[in-house]
Amino acid sequence: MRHYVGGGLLAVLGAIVLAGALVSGNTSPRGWIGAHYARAGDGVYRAPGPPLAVAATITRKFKPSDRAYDPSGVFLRYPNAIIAVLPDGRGSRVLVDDVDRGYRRHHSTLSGRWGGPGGRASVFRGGGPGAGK
Amino acid sequence: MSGGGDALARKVTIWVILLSVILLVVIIAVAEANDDDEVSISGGGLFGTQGAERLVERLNAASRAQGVCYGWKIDSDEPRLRQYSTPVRPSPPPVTPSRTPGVPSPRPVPPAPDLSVTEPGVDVGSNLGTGLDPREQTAQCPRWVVFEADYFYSYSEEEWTSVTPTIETNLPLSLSYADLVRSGITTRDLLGDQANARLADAIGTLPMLVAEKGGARPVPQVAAEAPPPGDRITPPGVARHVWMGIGGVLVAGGLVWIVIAAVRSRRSA
Repeated sequence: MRHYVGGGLLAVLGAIVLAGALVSGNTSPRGWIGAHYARAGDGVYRAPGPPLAVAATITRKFKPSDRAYDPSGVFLRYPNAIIAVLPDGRGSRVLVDDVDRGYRRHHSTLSGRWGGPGGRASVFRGGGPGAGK
Repeated sequence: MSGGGDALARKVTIWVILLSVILLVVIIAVAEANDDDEVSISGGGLFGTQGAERLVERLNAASRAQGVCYGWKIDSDEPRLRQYSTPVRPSPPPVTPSRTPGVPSPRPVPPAPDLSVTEPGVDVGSNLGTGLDPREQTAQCPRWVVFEADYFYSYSEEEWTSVTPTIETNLPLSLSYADLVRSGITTRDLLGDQANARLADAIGTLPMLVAEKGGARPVPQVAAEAPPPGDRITPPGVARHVWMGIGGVLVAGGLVWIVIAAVRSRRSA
C-alpha cells in the first residue's frame, strides 16, 4: 500500500511542478489589455494615462520577463508577446504583438538589446554596479 | 509482498536518484549555456562602447526633439572602473537647444571640449557624448536633466549594498526618484543582476518624465526599419522547459512506481 502512496505523492508533486511551469510560461497581458483599454485597431489599444503610468500598471499585473525604457516609449517582453506603450496625445497607444512581429516592428529600438545577429543581444547584458546581488 | 516490495522500493529509489542526477547535470549545462548569453562589456565604462553609443544616440534624438539636454552621472564607488577607451560622440551632432520649450534651434553645436577624464569610478555622459556633463556645457545646454546614482560598495560584504538615485534639473519641474519608482524602476532593480540595463532604463525614462510633466513634447518613435537577415530576437529562457522536464519526470516516475507495485502485488497474490 505504501508504494501506491509513495508513487502517488511523487506523481502529484510532478503534476504541481508541471502545472506551475505551464502557467508561468503563459502569462500574457493580452486579454487584460483588451478588457481594460479601448481597441483602436488590430493589436492596437488606447489607454487614458501617460506611457510610464500605463506600463507600470501592466507590469504590476503581469511581470514581464524583460523591459526596456526608451525616450520614445516603454517596451515589455513576455514569453508570447511584446507590448509597446507609446505616447499618444494626452494618453498612450498600446501595441500588442507576438514576439517575432514585435521585434520586427520595434527593431530600431530593440535591436542589440533583445536581439541581434544570430539572436544574440549585445548591449546592457548584465554587469554594472550592484550586479550579482 | 514485503520482500518483493522492499526490492521494488529499492529499485525505484535507485531510478529516482539516477534520474535526479541526470536532471541536475542538464540543469547545470543549461545554466552554463545561459551564461554564454551574458556578453562581456567591452570598451570600458559602465555600459561599454555599444551601450554608451545606444544611450548617447537616443538621448541626442530626445534632445533634438525636446530642446533639453539629458545626462547621467553614476558613482559606482569602484575606483577600478575603467573609463571608456574611446569617447562616444553622437551622430548627427547635437543642436543648440532653444530656451523656448519644445522648439530646438537647428544650429549645430560646436564640438564640446573633451573632458572625458572624470573622477575614478564615476561614469558620466549625456546626449553630447561620454564624459560630458550637460551641467558643465552651459552654452550647448541651457536646459538640462541629469540622472544621478550614488552606489555604496561594502568591502566587508564584497558587494554593492545600497544606491541613492536622484534626478537633477534646472527646468521648472519637480523631478525625483519617486517618479522613477512610479515608473517601475526601484533601488532593488538598480542593485540587481541587470543593474546596467536598469540604469539605462532610468536614464532613458527622463525625456518621457519631462514630457509627462509638460516640460516638452513627447519624443517621436524611431522610424521602423526591417531587421537585416539573421537579426532575430533572443530565444526565451530555458528555465521553464527545465521545470517542465522535471515535472514530467516526477509524474512518470510516480506512475511507474505505482504500476510496478501493482504488478508485483498481483504476482505475489
